[in-house]
Amino acid sequence: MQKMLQIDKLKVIYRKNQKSFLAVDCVNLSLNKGEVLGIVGESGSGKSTLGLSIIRLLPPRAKIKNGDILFEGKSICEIKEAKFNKDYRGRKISYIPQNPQSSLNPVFTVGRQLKDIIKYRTDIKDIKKTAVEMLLKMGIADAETRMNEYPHQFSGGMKQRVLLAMAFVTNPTLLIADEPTTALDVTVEAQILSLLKDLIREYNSSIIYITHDLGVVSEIADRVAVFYAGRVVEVNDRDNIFKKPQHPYTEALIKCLPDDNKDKKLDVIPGDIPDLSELPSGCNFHPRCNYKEDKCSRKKPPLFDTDSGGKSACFFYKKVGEAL
Amino acid sequence: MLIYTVKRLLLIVPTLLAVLLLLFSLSYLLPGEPAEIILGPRASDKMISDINEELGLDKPWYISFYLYLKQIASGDFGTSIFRDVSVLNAVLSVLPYTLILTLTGMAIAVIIGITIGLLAANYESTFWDGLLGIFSFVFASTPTYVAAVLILLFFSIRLNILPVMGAGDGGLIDGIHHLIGPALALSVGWTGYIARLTRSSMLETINEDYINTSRSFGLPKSFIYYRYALKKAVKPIVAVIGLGIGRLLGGALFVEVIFNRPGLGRLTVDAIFERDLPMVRGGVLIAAFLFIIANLLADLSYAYLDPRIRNK
Amino acid sequence: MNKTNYFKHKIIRNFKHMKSDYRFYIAAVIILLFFTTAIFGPWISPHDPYKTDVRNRLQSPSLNHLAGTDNIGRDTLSRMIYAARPALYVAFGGLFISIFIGIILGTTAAYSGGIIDNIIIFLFDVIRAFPPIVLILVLVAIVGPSLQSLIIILGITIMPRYGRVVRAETLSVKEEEYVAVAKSMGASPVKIIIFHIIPNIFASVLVLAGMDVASMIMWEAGLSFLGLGVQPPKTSWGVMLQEGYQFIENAPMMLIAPSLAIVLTMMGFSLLAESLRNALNPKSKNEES
Repeated sequence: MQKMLQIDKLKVIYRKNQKSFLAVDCVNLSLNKGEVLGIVGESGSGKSTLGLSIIRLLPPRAKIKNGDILFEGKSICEIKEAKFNKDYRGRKISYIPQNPQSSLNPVFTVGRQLKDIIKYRTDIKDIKKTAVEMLLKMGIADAETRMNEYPHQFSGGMKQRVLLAMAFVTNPTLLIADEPTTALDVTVEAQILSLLKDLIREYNSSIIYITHDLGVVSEIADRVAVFYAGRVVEVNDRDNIFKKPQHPYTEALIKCLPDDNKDKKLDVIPGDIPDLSELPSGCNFHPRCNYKEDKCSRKKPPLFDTDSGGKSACFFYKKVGEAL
Repeated sequence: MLIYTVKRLLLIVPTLLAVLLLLFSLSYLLPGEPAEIILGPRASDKMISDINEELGLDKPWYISFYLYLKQIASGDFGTSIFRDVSVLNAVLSVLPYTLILTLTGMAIAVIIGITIGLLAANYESTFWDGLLGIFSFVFASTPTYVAAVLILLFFSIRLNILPVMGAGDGGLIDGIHHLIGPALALSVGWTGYIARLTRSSMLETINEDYINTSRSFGLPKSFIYYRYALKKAVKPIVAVIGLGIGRLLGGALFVEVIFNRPGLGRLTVDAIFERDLPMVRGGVLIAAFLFIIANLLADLSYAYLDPRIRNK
Repeated sequence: MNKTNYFKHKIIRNFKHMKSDYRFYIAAVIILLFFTTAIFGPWISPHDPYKTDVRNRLQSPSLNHLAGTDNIGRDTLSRMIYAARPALYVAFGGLFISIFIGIILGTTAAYSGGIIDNIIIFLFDVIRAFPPIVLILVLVAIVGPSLQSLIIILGITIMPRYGRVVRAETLSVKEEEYVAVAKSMGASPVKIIIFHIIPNIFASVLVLAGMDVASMIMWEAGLSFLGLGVQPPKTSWGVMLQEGYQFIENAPMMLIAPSLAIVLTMMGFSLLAESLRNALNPKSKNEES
């Protein structure tokens, strides 16, 4: 079957203070139509860089070193920038930024910004009506008046709703959501998540949902990819991941989740996330790993196919997850 | 916004009063007896007392200050000591020259400065950016009087394409021809300043999250650059224009002296050298008033540009 | 850590930043040149700047007179070198006066509060309400033109900048614990100001002063040009500019030489100010997301 998105051995290189390092290291991922892929990892694990490479908005000091990204069977790296900007960005692929607080232009009204997107990025004729409808659909009451307000008059959650309206009004095939709820309060986060779930159902978009919060992923994702230090360490269906994680890092993340049923202390993962420019030898995770053995510090584990149909980058994936 | 405006307007009153008090006290502070300076050493007592009465020096200071205020309030700025003209008429007859010079200078600075700044930002970190950066910096470091004498030297004397002095014969074309050199000289420093400000403000803006948002929606590049980013990026520039007009009013004095052009600055300098007290007072008062107005406009325009203040 | 210590800390920490800033080096070279010229002028100038030589008047640059001669045959380069000194006097003398008065008024305002505070603030506002050039003109008219009066007048004109900063900083330092401790031990306000507050606010005052040097030099030359500052035959870049202006048709070097000196010096001090500002606020460029 033709995958909608296929990321093939992607390597993204960053330059920083004359050093360079791989922010994304040999990542293979794929996404089917209508599927929600959750990408989980700590900050600095390269998950945002992955999102930015798909929409080709990497900062100037980052570059795709090799590998390919196929969107609907076509390599997006080979499309000319002007064409990509005209036909893909915002039309077929939409992006929801991390921080709603600073992601709307403070000197233009909210309505103006939404209408500009409709005007330039869709073929819709009745711009104003569509804008109001979209805002209403996003749960913004009194949309007609609020269109004329400035972003500073909106709360963080409201701004995120506006950004969702902008993202969905073009009816994108693929939506990349980069930590869309991280900056919000827990209650607002829940509202936005449920809104997003409704929108996914209605628009049948494929979504890459990037977050550091495994709990959010369990709510929304069909499949989960766990990132650690620029690499995918485990991919599997959501249920399999939570039932029986097969990478020590995933297991540790799950143990860190607050759990209603058990009255135990939350675990923390010992040690720090490594600096991408000074990675440990062998497996990136081994200094923090409970399962480590001698060969972990010598050899980089490949991605093994696991019994449950996923992949895991651990030599001992069979042993992991039993304790849960 | 309304409350802010009213508050800001009310602040003018005490400042103007203080300015008037300083100007008034000039007659006590200036060295020598004013009447003797005017009339020379062989003046009769009657003439001296007449002059003193005219200047209000024969009464206690607070009474003469009150009379001075009353006089100013009625629009009477006194008469020049040396020429038989009313100060108000003298000031008003040269004021348009200064205003036109200042505003033209500012317009040139804004247009050229923003253009240079946008170009530099567009070609960030290239050779052109560096070259424009050096130009802007040299411009910004050139005092108005240096720019004025150099423009006079190269364009009027050496190349002989601009007139040397004066403000023209009253015709429009000739007036513009006479305005070019002075206005350019006046604008040089602020052209450099605005160019640098535009560049840094633009670069700062296009790295903001919301510009990245616009990019990620695939809006046309020029649309993002010249509509979404520019409106935010010119805000600090608009905010300094009022301030700049105040500064250029001061710079206009040098330009008027160097190009031998009529104007408020030259009138005041000449009056100071001649010790023409009423004329000094009139010139300074009007200059201070213009300066206060320019500063007021600067504050208000900045408040207006910020939707957070405007809507209050 | 209190606010001003934090400020100092920032300067020190960011000195590294400054050292990697090319502007800092260019500024250092120009400023060093300026100071050397101002201090050692009499020893390095090729001719006596006051010696007239009417037979060799209005000469173009030559090996003997690198920048030519003026209308009465004085060596332009030597006059340019000697003119660095009045610029230095005015810039640093004027800044010293404004810092001195600014500290006295600023700390007094912050310490007394109430009506005295308001009066001092109003005084600052009034001085700032004048266009600087107009205020200077009026003051020169009162005290008469000379180098000394220029120093005092410029000092008074820009004083409110320092007074306001000192007042604001004093208000915040005043609340610090160590000041409270000193007070509880019976130290008088004057002692507290001298030993505790001034050392703490001095860093920010100096940074501000660094930014003002260029404009002081600009004012000195400008006012001397108008005849309201240094008086001929004494030399100053402004005086030279005035003399050059009178002979603009015959000897362009008389204009170009002092112009270069003024622009170059201003560039040096502006670069220093910029590099200082950058060190205090090293934003954007080197930051990583």
